[in-house]
Amino acid sequence: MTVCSRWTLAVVLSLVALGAAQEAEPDPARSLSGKLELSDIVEYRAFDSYQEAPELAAMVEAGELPPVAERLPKEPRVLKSAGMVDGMGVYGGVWRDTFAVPTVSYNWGVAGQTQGYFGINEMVQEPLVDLFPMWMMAQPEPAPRLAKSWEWSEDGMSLTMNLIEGAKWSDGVPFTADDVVFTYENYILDPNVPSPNETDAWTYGGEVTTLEKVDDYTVRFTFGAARPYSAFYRMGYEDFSVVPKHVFSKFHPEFTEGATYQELLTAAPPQDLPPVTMGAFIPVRYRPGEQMILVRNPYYWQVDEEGRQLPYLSEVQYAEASSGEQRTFNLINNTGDRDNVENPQIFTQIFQASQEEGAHFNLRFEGFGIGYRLDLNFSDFGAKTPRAQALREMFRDLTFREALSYAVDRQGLATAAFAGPLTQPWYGGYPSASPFYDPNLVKPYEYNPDQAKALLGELGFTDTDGNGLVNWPEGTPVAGQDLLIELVAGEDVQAAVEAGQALVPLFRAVGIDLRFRVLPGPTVLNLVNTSDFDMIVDRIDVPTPDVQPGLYGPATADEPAWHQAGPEGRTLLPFEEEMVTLLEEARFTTDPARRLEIFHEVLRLSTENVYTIGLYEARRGLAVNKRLKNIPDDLPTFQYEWGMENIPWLAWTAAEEQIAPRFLDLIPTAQDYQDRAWNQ
Amino acid sequence: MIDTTRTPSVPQPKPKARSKSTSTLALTWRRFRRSTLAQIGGTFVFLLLLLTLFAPFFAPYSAAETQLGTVYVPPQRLHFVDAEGRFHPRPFTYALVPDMDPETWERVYRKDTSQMYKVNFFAPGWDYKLLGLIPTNIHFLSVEEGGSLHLLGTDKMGRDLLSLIIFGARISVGVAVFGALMSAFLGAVIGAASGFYGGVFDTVTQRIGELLLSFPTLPLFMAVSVAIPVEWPPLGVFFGIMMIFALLGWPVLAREVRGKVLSYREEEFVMAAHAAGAKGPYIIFRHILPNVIGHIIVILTISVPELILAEGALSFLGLGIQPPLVSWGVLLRDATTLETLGQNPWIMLPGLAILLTVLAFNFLGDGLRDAVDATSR
Amino acid sequence: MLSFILKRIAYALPTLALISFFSFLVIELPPGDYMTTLQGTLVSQSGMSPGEARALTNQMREEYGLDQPFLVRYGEWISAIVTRGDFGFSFIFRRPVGEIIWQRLGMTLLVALCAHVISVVIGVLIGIYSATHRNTFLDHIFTVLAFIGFSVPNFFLALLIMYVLAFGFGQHVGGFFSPDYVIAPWSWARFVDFLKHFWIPVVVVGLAGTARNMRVMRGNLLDVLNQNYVRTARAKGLSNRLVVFKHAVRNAVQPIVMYLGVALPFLLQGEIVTSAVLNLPTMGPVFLQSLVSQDMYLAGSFLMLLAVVLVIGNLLADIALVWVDPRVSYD
Repeated sequence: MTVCSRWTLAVVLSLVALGAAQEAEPDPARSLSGKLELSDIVEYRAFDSYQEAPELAAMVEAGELPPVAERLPKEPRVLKSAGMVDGMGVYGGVWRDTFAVPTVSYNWGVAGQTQGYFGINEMVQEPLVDLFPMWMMAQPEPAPRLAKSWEWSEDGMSLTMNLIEGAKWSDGVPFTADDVVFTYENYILDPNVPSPNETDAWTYGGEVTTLEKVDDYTVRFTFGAARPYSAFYRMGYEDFSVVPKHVFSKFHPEFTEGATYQELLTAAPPQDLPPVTMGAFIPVRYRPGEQMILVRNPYYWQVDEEGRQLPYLSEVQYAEASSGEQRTFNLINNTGDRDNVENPQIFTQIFQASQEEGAHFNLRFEGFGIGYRLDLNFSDFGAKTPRAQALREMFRDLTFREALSYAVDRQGLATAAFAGPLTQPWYGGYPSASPFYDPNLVKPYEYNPDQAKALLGELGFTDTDGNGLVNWPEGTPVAGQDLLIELVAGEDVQAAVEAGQALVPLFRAVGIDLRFRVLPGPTVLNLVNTSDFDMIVDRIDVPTPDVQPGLYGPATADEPAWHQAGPEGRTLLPFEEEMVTLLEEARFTTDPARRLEIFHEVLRLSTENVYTIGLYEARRGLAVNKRLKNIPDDLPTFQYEWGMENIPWLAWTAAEEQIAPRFLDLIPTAQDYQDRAWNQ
Repeated sequence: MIDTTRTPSVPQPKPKARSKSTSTLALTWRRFRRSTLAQIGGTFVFLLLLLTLFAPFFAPYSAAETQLGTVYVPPQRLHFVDAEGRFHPRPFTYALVPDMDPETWERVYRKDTSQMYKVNFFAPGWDYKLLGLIPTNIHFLSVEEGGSLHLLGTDKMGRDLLSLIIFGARISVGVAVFGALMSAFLGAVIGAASGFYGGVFDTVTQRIGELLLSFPTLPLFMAVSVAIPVEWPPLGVFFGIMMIFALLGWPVLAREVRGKVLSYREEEFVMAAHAAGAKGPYIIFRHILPNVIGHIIVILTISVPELILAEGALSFLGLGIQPPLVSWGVLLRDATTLETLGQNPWIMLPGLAILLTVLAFNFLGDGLRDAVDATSR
Repeated sequence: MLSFILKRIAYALPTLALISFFSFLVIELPPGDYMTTLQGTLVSQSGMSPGEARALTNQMREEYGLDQPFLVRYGEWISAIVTRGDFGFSFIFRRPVGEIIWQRLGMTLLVALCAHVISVVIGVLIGIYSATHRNTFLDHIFTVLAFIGFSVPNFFLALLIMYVLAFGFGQHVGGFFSPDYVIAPWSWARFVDFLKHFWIPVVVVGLAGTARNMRVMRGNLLDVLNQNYVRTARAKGLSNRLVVFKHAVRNAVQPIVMYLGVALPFLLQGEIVTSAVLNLPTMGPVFLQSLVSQDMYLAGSFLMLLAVVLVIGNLLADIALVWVDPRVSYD
């Protein structure tokens, strides 16, 4: 039996066996993917009376908080029961989680100022628009959040958004259009403030979008082109999380005499608690390197269908670890409640733990959503040596790219990452879990080292000096030199590092000297930004190209990362030109059928032309403690937004299983916001 | 480093004039042989040095060989009795069939008992150059073509762990030994010159030495290692680490040697040599250093294990040797992941290699020190 | 005696100054600075364009005075320390360096001290036993164990213990507390939980010290037992036990106790790697992080503190030795 057929048999057998060993298929009654419409999920309306958590009621009794009806907006956002697979819940309980990035600050409008990722950001930031519910919709469309409704003007050049009325920040100060405009003009557009999206992303038809306040609860965007639909994708988390003006204008030079941008960038340090937020939970305690405690926000502006103020859970405990792996560890030893299972090396461990007697968590795997690929540098600038320059030009030749692609043993890489069917070969384009994926449009370059050698030979690469490596042909600036390619990977993505290491002998077998280096993440980024690299091992975990087209094609001058425009611009290859047209059209297309066509075409162009060299893709999964309710069986790890990270405000635990909260006395009142830096 | 085994109260004996080296050596040797531990250590160190010198000979696989098909193979057993119960004087291994256990999702390798591959001693294997000069392909242990011989298993890229440990020894022991040698050389020269000539040179080097000794070694190594640019090739990093060991380690020996030179400087035989017209360096090398050589060797042997541990810690933290160069510390970096500890524990074996090596050097150094101290008493 | 002390202190002062200079120099060796790291992060995590990132970090460089020449920065740093006790600003943590060190110092010292105390007590006791039962089977065992004790790489040992506890006993490992007890009032249960975590770094860090102390104690005691005054005491008919404990041990223990101040930095150093493995909230992980990100004031301050502690420890040890042992004289 050849190695190849042995592999196939093993894979097939384990596929069958895997089906047997896996837990039951997701229960259709608890699955929501593609089943709902927007109106099933969310609405805004007033109630005659509201209910609140007992601890808040006690505080109202004691005069520390105003009554719940005064804390909620006129028409709170209602999370409807169709989106709750276990129905409405009871108050109380704790959500335990783990994070591995130290909190930087609570000034989330500034780029890079994380609250810790791993779900903490989503707990404290509230955006204009909600992209998360799109996974549940048959016809995905952005959902309202702080903006409760919107209309396009007749000519499509402006978008008027109505904001929720009467909602308050956690310190009781009203949320108004001022906050939204402040976020847009003084963070996003202000060149002195680095923000996740800058003017580039907000330029349509050559003009920078303007935002004006119509009244306290209405704002209007005016665009340079009609109906730029993709603008909604810039209004979600991280991109347009609204910043409290009454806090940060005190540090912003535009508003406060004597303030500097320096001050603004370092405002709201991690120990300055509690921060002002509209999120469901408020950080109240932080021991760096150890733990963060969050408690419910008494001013949270969402309720369930019966008028119960959300969230159901009272407290969140985040253990801080030095690596993301600790989250898996904590899940297994029952000090953490969930995990995103993404690292193939962990699959076995966590699977075995889930199969044990009395295992306290459920584990489910979903489709192939993570892809590892090689990005080849096409950019015209940044090449430091003649060799690098010659290589860039060679990269632009399809035959050369095909040769490289044939040299990769994708099945071998996939199996080395994980022995079973949770990894599989991938040929580039989108990971197969993407809604825009179509296997018929993917051109597979099956492992064929002989073909790779033949193609190299066609291009004139032969081994002239007998050292096993092919040499540059006559006529090239580096004629006679060995064909050397430098491959780089960031040390923080372990799977990419291992894939890179495994490629070295594969390339050597076809005569290419692949030099592989592992560098710290920021160093790799510097190389990318200065276009000082040959090839990079990259990881893709966004299977929605319509939301982030820059990861897949030339959406802006800076994207894709492997073909940036230099000081003298860039020369696009013909298929890239086609992509530009398609992607530009996608920015304005609302018709789902047309969008599908567009991105199908992009997929076809990408794989036919070996735009990137896909290596393998992996399935990912979610593991959740059985105690937590309202977690849909088919909740995706990531689709439009992170899955579990957008659940805590509708999750609940049964009274008998609740973990007792211990920090409810830290729920902030007006007192806690009095003597703060912005109130001086 | 603080030498906590020295009691300050015992007075030093009067130094002898440079005596016939044979009798001192013989005395030292005899005293050394009285300690079993020291001899065990010495033998191990000797074998280890042989191993590193002839690494490719002993390594069943070339460390560069990555095999996607044999990732995380557990340590393979050598068999003498086959599936039918027949005895074979020459050991063999079975072919491995990769698979996944559906119950546990673990990667497993089933033995195909129908395919046997003989294991031979001093047999042909992969090509290499003995001592970097003589091309050959004879190896200590080799398996028939098509078979696999992974006595300690393989790592995440299918590389044979035994071979990795052997090649890793080259780097780990190499950087420690050469670093120690260089620092000893530097220390001896600087210390001797310092003690003999005194003056400004002495004051300055004393101060610098004190300064360096004021820092605990590991944090200092860590801080300086970060200065090695990430763009340097791995071999450059190797030399960088070695230089760091040398440049930061000389004060210990320098202090020793300086003290000895100071005490000998006023002795009669030295003054006599001076009167006879001998120059400084001649006196140092011919008359003084031979009396000190024993201590130099002892300190040298004792600093090697420290440096092996230091390299291990540095590489483990990511600051030392960088892949694709392999050292024991680098190998242990891979041992910190969950799946290693849970499923592939053999990946932790390089830690055992460090332990045994350091132990051996410590035994040896301890024995040497006893021997040299006793002789000079 | 007093003049000796004063002289030693005077001698130590320039050393301390040199230490501060050298620490700062060492931290400055890597090319670039914290802003270089920040630049990369800005682009990666927030999609900032490279040009904008560069402009911003240059601006910040100016703000923080990072673009000034080396000597100027050193001068400002050292004068801030001496006049105000201000060790500078940590870019990673956005807080004054002093705060960070102070916060983590407690636990760091606690581990080091407990490790030292335990290593002294156990080492001395075993050493006494070994010396008084010389060349017996147990003595040989202890000798080998001692060698293993200071030969085992401490990160390897930490890994092994972590493995056994996590997979063998299903315990929570890492940090000083299980998540339930991190932020909680002190109680018996919390104390027990703490002990369950605390013993690991203490054992790992203290092992080498225990082994060394055992060997030293054994060696010293053997030397002392052979000395004339001991033989005299024995001849006088004093019981063996009395001889051993009253006279010999007291003398033999001196060097070990003397080196208490000196042992501290080495224990701290052992802790650096151990706490990286065990994810402890001590100075170790912070130091490593600060080196990698070039958070220079933090890294430099910590490095300097380690050396200063060592120098002061040496000084105290020398003074104590002179005070205690009349035979030793220094000039």
